[in-house]
Amino acid sequence: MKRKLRDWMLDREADAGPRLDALRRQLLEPGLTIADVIRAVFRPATAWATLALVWIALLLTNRAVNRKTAGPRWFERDVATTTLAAVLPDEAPAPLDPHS
Amino acid sequence: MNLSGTAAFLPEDRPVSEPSPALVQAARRHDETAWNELFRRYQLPLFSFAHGFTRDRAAAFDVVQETFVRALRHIGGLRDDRKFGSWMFGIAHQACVRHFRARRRHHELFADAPLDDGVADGSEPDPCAALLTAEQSEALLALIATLPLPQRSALLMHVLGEMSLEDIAEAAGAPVGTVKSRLHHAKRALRKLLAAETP
Repeated sequence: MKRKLRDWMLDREADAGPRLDALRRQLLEPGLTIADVIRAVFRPATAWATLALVWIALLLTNRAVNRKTAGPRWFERDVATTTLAAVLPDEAPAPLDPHS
Repeated sequence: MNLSGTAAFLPEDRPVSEPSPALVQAARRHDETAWNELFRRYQLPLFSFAHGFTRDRAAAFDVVQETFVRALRHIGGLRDDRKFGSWMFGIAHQACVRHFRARRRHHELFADAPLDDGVADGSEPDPCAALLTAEQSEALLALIATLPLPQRSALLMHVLGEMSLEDIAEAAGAPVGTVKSRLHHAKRALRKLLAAETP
């Protein structure tokens, strides 16, 4: 039997038919609209919820970091002034003399 | 809607022409029946193309699935309803290219064989249109598998998608002249083999 190359090529793959049918059915499942498929791919609700969670996490992290950095900076400045006054009393800033 | 048709041997599974614009327009309106019909028409040719291109059966199923999903999502980007089949093959071609990129075999895509002379003058017989015996077809398919990727891709789109040079060029993102040359060399290899096979 003689046939065109195209027909031989398709014949050779014919056993893939059932799996391709299943794949097609899965994609176009009855009751599931195209809009549902697109929605399922994009999942906008999930995307927005994830974005909101990321923002909340960033906000909390930002606050936590600010709280941590604000404390030690003031503390370090005080310690530095006290240490300078103890080691070099002459260098320490003298209190203002109201008579001078 | 009946989606249970598994008749892979039905003639409508082997489209010889583009689907009617009305069917494509229905698909544009998200009509599932239209999509089912379109996918059923093209699933086997697309699978055969992807399998021939990648030589990887599992990858070919992935390519078909990706092609379907992308077609559903991007039907709005189809410029001409009469070119639906070519458009689908173009998507499948891109999916195959991504398959090669993911496996770091992208260099194969650019490994165009040296193209020594001009293109066909049209007087030579087309091996793709010839009637072949099972043995001849096996020999040709084995030869196709050894062709450089650009030639193989062009030949598969020509045979399975029955696409014009212009459509193949658009799908492959290559100039028409380059595609013409690739196709010519691929067909010449097939012709030589057929001539050797014929007693």
